[in-house]
Amino acid sequence: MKITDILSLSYLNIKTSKFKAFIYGLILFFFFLLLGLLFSGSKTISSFADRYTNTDFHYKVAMVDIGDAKREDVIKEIESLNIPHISKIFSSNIDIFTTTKISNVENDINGIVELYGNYQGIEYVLDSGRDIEEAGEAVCASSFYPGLLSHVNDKSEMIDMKTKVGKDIFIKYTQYKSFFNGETIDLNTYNVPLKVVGTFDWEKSLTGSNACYVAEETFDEIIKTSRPVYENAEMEEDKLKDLDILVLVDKYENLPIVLDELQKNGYETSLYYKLDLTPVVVIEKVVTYLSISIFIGSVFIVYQFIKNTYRENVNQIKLYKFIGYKKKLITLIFIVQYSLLTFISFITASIILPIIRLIVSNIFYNNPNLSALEIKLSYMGVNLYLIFVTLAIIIIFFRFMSKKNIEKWS
Amino acid sequence: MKLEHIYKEYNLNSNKIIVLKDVNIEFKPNNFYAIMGRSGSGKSTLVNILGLLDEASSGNYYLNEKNISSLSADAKSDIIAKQIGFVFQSFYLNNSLTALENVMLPLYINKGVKKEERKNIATSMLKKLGLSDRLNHKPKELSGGEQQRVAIARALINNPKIIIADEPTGNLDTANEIEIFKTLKDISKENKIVIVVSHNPVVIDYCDYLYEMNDGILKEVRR
Repeated sequence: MKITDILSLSYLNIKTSKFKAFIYGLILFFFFLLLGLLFSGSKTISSFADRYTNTDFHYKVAMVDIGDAKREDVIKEIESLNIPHISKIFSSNIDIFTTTKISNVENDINGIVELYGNYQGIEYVLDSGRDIEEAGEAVCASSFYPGLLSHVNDKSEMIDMKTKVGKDIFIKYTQYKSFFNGETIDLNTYNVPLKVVGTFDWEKSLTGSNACYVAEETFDEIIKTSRPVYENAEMEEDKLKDLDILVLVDKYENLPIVLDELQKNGYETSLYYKLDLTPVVVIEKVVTYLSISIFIGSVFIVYQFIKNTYRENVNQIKLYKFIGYKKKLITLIFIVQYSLLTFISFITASIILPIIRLIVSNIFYNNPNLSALEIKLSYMGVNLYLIFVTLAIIIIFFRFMSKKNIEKWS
Repeated sequence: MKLEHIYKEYNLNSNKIIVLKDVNIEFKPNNFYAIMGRSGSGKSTLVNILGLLDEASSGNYYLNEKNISSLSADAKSDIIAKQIGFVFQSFYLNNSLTALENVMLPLYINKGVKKEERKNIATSMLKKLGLSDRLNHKPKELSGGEQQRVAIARALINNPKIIIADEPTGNLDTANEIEIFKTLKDISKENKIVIVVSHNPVVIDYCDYLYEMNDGILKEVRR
């Protein structure tokens, strides 16, 4: 018999029990959707956590206690160890980034910006232009909020930095001298031109809106020239004594390796930002347990539906027997009938999932606290469920179409 | 079509019950056979064996001079599909399908009929049985007599040589009873064997051979 005939007969069976078919399809649709949402939610959270740990470089920084040793000596020692995965050693946390004034010739950019060095291990999601290739170049957040507050997320007032790609901006900072008695005097004011060569998606890169990455050597120079000059060496030592040396690691997953190496060499280490991944682990566990419950529950539901179908369709099965349909064919008609309903539920849920994603993404996009959360779609649960339910249908039907049952109906 | 020394036994609570005792009968085309008898006399068991829906405990069943007593289930299904048509008291129609769709069901397994021909063949059969204006009606929209004619159309659709009817008039009024027996009689004259099991005495007026079943023993009453 042709597959089209099997499909026609299965369709006639569905017509025979329309209401049951609808309820079955609805339940399965609900499960498909639920699994799709669970797996997508889990993927969203995991990918966010993964992005968070790698994009926000603070999570990739180890702190080394220098004790009574000299800062420069410790840095040299660590460098000489050639520990893999270390991309930069900062003498202290005041060197990791700096805040400067920013302006341009058109005078529409005027405010504050955070500057970061473009070291290995710094990750940002470029959304226009290109990456930094040489000194004096910068890649800035795609939005700039003019004013003195750099982290205001009011999108309506933001300037689109993509329009500034290829143009110059100026960063202005002053180096000052600090005295024991608390007085300070300005030593030098710097006005450094930087060429914006690209912009990054600051929401996906998990920074604030007003931020720029500059070439490594440019950043080192800015840090050197912006660092306060102290009255004498004792004062400098006194000011910095409690600050640890910071070690930037290329990837979050390599952080334990670097920590381990440092500890093996006698350094006391700690983490710059401690990350608590417990919520992610809990969510993943909940998804796993719920999914397993749905899978097991579905077997029971499918079994009950098939059992009821048999009870209600004994006459239909007898009829098939009276007109010469073979047992295999009758089984196949019922398997296709239920597989067809399962597939329709699968397709419907698969179409609705991206629509839900779009709606949720829009809601998140317009919420400053959630805009960094990129909704991911995962069809893994849905696909696995389709295979699982289809197999369950086949096994259950073959069980029902046993010789014993057939004889009972006849 | 011939049964030789057919016995059928059941075990009920460790008691052996003999339902059919040494049944011997031969059926020939162009004849209408009626088997009468009280309830529980073994008529339905005989029908099930004749229709290959059940197996005899012993004895031989010959169809086209071949012994088909112990064929596989699939082989029996093949014979049913090609050579046997059933008509039942309760019609066995699918209430969600139209008369046409019900009659088309056996055509799905007839390899000799193309998909596009099914509808025409089923329509012709229903017209032949006087149901041309009932093609798209569902069973519940038809009278008992009409439903039974749809069932007969379905039994005839694959042009079987044998029609087995188990109490075909059990759910019908007198006018329809006569109509159905007349139809079955006409069918038998198309080179077919028609076997009717009934306790309706009207069948006597239409059958060519009359048999009586009594306590599992089949006896020819009239030729």
